[in-house]
Amino acid sequence: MIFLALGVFILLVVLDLPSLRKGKDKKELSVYCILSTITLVYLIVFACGGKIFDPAKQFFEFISDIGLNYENWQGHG
Amino acid sequence: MSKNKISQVQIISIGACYLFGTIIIAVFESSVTTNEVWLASVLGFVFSIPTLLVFLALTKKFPGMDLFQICNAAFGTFVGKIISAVYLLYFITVCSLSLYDASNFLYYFIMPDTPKVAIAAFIMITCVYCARKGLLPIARVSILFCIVCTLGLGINIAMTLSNAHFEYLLPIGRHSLLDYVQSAHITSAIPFGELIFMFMLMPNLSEKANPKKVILWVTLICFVLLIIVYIRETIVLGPLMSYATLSSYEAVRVIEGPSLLSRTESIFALLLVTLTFYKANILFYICCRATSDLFETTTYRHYTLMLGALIVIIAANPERTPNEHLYVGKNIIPFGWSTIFLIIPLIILIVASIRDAHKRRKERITA
Repeated sequence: MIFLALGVFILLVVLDLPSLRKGKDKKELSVYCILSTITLVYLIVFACGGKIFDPAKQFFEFISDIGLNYENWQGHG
Repeated sequence: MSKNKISQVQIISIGACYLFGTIIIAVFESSVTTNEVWLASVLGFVFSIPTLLVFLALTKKFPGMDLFQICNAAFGTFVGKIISAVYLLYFITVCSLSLYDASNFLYYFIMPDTPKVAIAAFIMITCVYCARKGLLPIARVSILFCIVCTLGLGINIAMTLSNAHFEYLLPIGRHSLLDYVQSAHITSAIPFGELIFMFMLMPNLSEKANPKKVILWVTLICFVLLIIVYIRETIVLGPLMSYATLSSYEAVRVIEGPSLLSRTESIFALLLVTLTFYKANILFYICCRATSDLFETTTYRHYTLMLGALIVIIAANPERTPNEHLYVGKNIIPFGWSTIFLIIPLIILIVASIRDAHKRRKERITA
């Protein structure tokens, strides 16, 4: 699975190469590098069956922890 | 009309398609107030009036600006960027949820042997292609999608009338007050609050268009659609509504008609896939643009594929199960989304008003 993930990542980079060559801005390249690193990490974690960091899930857990959850209010919690 | 500018009709169609894509798949409030969900949606509209007023005030205060420009103008570059990052995360989350809904529907109802991640990836490839083409083609097809979806919904409603039981709309008032509040809060957050996405398209609005009119029209369309969809679900499904996984789809599955018109739910399935795909498409375009705005790059074309892959992985997260999705949507999301739709825009408005007042006072002193 990890090889499949790496294969997908390489394919994405290869597909992006034509538009990357046209880009002259260093900022665009650095944004691309940040995004591709995050994507690579997510792809590997996903392929290995690991726990994917979901910012929205963390946000909702935080909201629930501070008591903003209708289940608690309804008295079923 | 100049390049990259969209007309008032086009932006209203985009808003209608987007909100239709939300309403058609949303099941959170129907599991709380069951047969009274239509009543709760009227209350939800009343609950969403403060959000609507804040949105209208923002369009007046910051004409032609997108959400990120508004954040920067109100809070300055540093704090503005942090708030913008929050909105970027919000758009990525909603895009992944939309992709999750579309792939889930296709997986559970149409193609159970195809892996969900493959379905999501194929939808995303189309989204990447569309995002690279820009907003104009997306806006152009929105009118067509709007017409097709209205026709599809009209046909489905006409066919479900033979199975309608208007007595299912009664009794009224058998739920607790908190149930109504919860259901109305969900409605005010999920279809109505999602109107915030329109701020990302405001810079592309033609000079002739009136942003206030756009927001009011889209809200009105959303309200009418919500009432129609929920009344149809209630009169067809009745008490079964709370048990249905996807009540809008289940409502058309029970249609009984002549054999010539069998399996008419396929029309609705097509409608559902089209709308959820369109919603994912718009959101993906917004995500790309938001990333470009946040990092101040001239174009987003280079990283559309990488961003798309990232969203597919988040959407295909195996920890995100339908039951958990329903639980979070019903109990926690209304609070979370209210922060995004109401509290942050309200803070922006207050800060901008204070800044303006301070500026005016300074000008008066110097004059």
